[in-house]
Amino acid sequence: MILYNLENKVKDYVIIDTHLHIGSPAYLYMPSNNRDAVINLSKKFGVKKAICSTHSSFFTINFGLNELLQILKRYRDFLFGYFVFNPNYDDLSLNLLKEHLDNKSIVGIKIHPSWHLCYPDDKRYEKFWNLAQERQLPVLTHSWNPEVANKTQKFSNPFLFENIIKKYPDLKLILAHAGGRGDMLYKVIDLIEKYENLYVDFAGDVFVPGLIEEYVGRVGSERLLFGTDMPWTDLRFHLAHIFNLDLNEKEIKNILGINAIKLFKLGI
Amino acid sequence: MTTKTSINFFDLNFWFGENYLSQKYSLSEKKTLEILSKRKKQKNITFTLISNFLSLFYDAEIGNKLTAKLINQTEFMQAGASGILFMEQNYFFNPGEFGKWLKRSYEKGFKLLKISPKTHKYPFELSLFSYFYEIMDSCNFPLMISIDEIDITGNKNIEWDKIAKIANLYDNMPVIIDGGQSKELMYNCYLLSLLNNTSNVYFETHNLLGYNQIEDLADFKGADRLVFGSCYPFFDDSLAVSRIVNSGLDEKGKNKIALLNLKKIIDNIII
Repeated sequence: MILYNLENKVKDYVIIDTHLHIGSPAYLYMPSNNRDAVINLSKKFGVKKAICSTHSSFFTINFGLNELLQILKRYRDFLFGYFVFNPNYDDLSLNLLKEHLDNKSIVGIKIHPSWHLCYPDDKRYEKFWNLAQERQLPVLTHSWNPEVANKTQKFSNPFLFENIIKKYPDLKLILAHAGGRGDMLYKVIDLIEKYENLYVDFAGDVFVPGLIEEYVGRVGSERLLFGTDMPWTDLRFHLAHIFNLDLNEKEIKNILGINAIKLFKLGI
Repeated sequence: MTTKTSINFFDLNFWFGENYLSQKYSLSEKKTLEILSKRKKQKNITFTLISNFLSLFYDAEIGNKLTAKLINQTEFMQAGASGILFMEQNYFFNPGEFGKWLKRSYEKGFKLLKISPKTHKYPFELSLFSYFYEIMDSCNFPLMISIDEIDITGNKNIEWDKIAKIANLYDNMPVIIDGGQSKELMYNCYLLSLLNNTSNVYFETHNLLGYNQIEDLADFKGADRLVFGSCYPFFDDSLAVSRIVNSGLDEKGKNKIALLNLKKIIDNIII
């Protein structure tokens, strides 16, 4: 019987976690969740760099941004950040984003249409999409199957982003969670196959056997990113998942870190 | 770099058969045997309690019959398979027969009764299901229920209080909760309260996905109240195994969660 000793296994890889959250996750209580503990666990299990958003940024513009800036400063050897764009405060949010475009630690933008109850093709997102394309800032968006009990997931139907990609062909867009649940996870492969600037991560609890192998078989490994969604999902589940895939070393290395280094121009 | 582990696993959350919603998640009889044998050898998943999709999605009686047929084949026994029995609705009409049915089912290799009150539209509340709980309690027969099945409104309003009352009144009946398709992380406070206010509620591990969640729950009430499950084929069983092996728990705690707690529950059935 062979199982990975993850702490040893990870030493051979450059691992970039492109989907990390820091700070209090609002109403969710997690006894061990604090910044240092989450970052220490990441480092212990081989993560070299992580790109994070603060939970607070989804709820509050200024407090959230300040928290992000503070933690990026404190963990500058380890963390990069996503600016969270809130379409319900589109002008304020866009102006703040413009102010921080030169901050080298902010390497992407996060949007969450379900959280902010705003469809991605809503006009409140329009200037934002323009700016993201113009400045070549990768956008990480929540994406999910609308056919679930949580009705707000309709705002993040992966196929709603097809018109965005068509309208902004140079935009680099990452569909987080690969559509999240059920057969949507497989339908998203059609989108990735069709649009070369579309990327995907399997953050959260997307652990379907054979799914990532099917992605690699159809679209290659170059547009698949490693993201955990910590602290919502423990990093150790994700590492075990990746190391048990039926993929070759090059493909695993691409997914774990090389793709992220190229996409976010991390320079490591 | 790989390492060997001496930890053996007893998986109580494995689905087989035809999933009418998706071929991707369906497992034929042949494929089921192949997977059970392979993971016994490669992942130390020595024993597995198997659930039939038909028992949930179609008809419990038909699903149970097909499961019984499978687990009584020598190859499946060698692969470590035993069964999960789904509550059949005809016992609401013939409650007097329930005890005999439970005994016969146990003898056929079923080690746990799963109830699906939401999907199959029957009550699980104390006032309406107590006759069955009493019989199960009298023989320490374990009950399993998914969070999805006690989210009656579909809006994450889980009936935790009802579970606590059932567990406390029938404290010889182990009550095992599995996270279904929910993130159990969302219910951490409920999980802590249930552990604190009952002695016979157990949580299955596959959906304890949150950062350090398994360690946190084990720290709170010891590793005695967690039982291993993979939720295959919806989740990759390698990572469920690896999560326990690579957890921050001591070896004793890992072994309890992996196998010993569930074995103790099953060994304790007197029927």
